[in-house]
Amino acid sequence: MLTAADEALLAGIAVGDEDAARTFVRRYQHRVYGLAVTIVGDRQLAEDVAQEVFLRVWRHAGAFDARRGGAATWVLAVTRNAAIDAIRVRRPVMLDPGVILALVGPGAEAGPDQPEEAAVTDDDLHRVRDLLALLPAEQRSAVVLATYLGWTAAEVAEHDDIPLGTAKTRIRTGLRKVRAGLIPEVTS
Amino acid sequence: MTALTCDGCRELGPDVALGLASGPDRAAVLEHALGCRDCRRDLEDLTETVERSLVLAPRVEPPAGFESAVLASFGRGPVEGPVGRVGRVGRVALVAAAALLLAALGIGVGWSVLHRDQPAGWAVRDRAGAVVGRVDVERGDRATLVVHLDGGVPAATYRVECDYEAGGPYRAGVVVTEAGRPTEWRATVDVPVYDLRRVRLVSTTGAPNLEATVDG
Repeated sequence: MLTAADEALLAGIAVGDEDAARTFVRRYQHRVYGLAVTIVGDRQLAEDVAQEVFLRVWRHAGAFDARRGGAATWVLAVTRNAAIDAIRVRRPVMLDPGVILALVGPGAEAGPDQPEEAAVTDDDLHRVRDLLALLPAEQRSAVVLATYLGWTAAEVAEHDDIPLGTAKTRIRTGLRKVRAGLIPEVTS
Repeated sequence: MTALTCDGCRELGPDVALGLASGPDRAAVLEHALGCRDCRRDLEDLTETVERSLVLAPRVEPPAGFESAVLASFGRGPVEGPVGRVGRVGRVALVAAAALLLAALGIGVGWSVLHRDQPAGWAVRDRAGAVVGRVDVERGDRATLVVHLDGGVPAATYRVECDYEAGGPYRAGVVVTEAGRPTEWRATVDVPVYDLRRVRLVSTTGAPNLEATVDG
């Protein structure tokens, strides 16, 4: 039902409904800003990124396709892309990967609940966290850095002082394990 | 380009889903997936996995005024359709923390200064002093700050910062430019814009900063 409400909001935004936009911003601003801060590690830049994300939502809500996933998934993916774009330009100011791992790793806190949207993503939150916790530490680290910071295998290899092929394997194998636990296999 | 096998596609699938694949690898995977239902499904699942994994990020309270600044940006210009729609005028972003500005300036600074001459038509200059745009102030029920940039400005994101007689800098929003496209950005500001002394466009993406001054 909550997902349907999100879809309705996005449909409203697509036709310029400012009330729908206001509700959507209130519902997702903590998540969008939180993800942006997590990725860019700078609150001012994160604010710029988060504003850009909502503007993209406002302008491109009509492109949202509910068949491909929920609104939360979509808006967080938009945030990831915008934030990674921002830090790629800013590098070599490299974020401390330990900070990211602590923020999203096992035992991390999710932050203040926003009742309207918490139920939508809490199930995923626990499942993803549990699945990551099951990975060997080196795979978990590689997957988190690739997912949240957009680190390439070469960057992971340099950071962990391992061969490039090993870094690729860690990312690919780790992501596939998470996928196997998150999305039921459908036999065709 | 050699066509990928299913094994090759599966090997590169995580890289594509994470946005880490090279251009040729990505093209090869997408081409293969287009004609292979199983690999397409695999790629969709991997992409979904990446996107759903983002829920782990903590929720964080945005700064005061964030919501109003975001909502203010929505009032400018029509909603666009999907990216690439014909007739799109330069991609312009964001806006104005009018409430923040009011709070920052305090009650003592009022609208009486609006009787002064309008500082319209300031030239926006790059570091070399070349004119690359213009800043106007439109006066209506509320004053509007308008930044025009010509198509020669590189693709970048700029933070718009205003210096007033009363102080500064005050952040008025963010403007995003696209290479080769003129950009118009506007923000309604509940502040004495006639006290404006300088508008700076500070790049957050590494491009050279731009500036417009009252004497400019």
